[in-house]
Amino acid sequence: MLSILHQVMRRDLTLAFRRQADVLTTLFFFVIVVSLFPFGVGPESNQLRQMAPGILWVAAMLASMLSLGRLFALDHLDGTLEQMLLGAAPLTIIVIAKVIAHWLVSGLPLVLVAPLLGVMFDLPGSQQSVLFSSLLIGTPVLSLIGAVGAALTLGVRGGGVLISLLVLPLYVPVLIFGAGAVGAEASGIGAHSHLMLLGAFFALSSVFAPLAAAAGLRISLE
Amino acid sequence: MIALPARDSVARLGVVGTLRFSGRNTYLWCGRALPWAVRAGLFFFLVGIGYAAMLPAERIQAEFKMIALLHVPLSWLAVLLCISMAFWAALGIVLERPLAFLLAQASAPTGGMFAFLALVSGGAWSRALGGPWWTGEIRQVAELVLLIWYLAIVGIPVFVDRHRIADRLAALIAVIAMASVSVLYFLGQWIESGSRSVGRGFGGVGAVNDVLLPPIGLCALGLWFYATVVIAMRYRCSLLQRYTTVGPERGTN
Repeated sequence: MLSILHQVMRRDLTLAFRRQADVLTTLFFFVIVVSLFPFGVGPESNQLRQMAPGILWVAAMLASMLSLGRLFALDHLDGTLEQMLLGAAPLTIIVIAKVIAHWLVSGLPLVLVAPLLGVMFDLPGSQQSVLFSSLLIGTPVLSLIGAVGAALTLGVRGGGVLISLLVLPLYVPVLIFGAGAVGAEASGIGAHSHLMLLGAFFALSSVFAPLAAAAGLRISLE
Repeated sequence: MIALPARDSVARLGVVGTLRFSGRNTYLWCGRALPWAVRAGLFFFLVGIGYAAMLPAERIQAEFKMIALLHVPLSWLAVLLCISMAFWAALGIVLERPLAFLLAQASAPTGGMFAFLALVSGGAWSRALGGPWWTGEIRQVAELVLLIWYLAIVGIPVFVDRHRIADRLAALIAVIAMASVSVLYFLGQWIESGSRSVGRGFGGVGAVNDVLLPPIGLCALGLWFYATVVIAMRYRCSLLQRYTTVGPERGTN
């Protein structure tokens, strides 16, 4: 089972690195959206410091929603997904492998770039580290939940609208606690409980999201 | 896939109709029961309003406004409809009953309307108390999330052409919505366990005292009758839409 995980991950990563335009789109979108906010809101640094976690989290969510179409659609177009369905490997493992590869390619760069963008908002060091850890725990959750949305809207015309409708309600708690972690750190309460809840969301979604995505794939690919 | 006729495609409903899975019996029973349900619903709702209007003013808390008689039942019913929708969806997936999918899809627009009205009336309530429209409480956020789920479930048959796939996708989303709403409900309980928030929407430890429970309950019952009537009417229409054949009566389709 681990070898299947390994194979599918390696295949997806190879394909992603050959098609770098998709990968870089996510990262550039994130950087540009976050950079536009100080221009729009004004240079007052207290205001920017308060708004920074919300802006960074919402931009990370939007960037990951952009990249969700890439998760299953390309394999669906050339028929590989049907072969994966017909094969002996459990579909859940294949979904987990694809999600890990998707996170490594579109989630992890966002996490690594976020501290640099935090400098633009003049975040102090403790909040920077909380922001980094909240994004580190939260972006895999975004990829996992996004996999469910992508599986359900496979082959649907106008799928972009439907993906955001499906995925937004599930993103909201993650957003509340991810951005709230930095806010709690800023107000002195400490981000411990928020980060714990984010970890709980990660655990919950890592169990149920692959199951739901596999069920959705089977339905969509009838 | 070899095109074996699915069992539901063999059904016909006409004046002399035969419908597999007893859709015909449901159709006829609903036709007889609906007028009574409408009268019962109106009765309970008006009794609830009258009860609250006649309570002596010193027994009610200052934070109660009449719009709460609308808001609390609406938010209760939006959640209840989500639970029942998920129930029918799960029944349809597990037992392979196409009519269960139809009933789940019939509940979705009503639930969406109730969620939207719950949001609006909740905002009006907090506005009447001098606060803003959107307070950012977890309860209001949960109602917004519920609205988006209902929109997603209503939207799937619009975008997906083949109704066999659309049924199952909508059912899967209904089950996921139920899970997400449960998570938000318990989160709301945890967050609000310390504060006294206005209102007794789902999950909140409300500031509405027990004297007001009977009128709110009566209004909720009336609204439940209304919801049942509307869902039953929608279900009957979708039964007709999907299972009637136009043309001369034949043996099996």
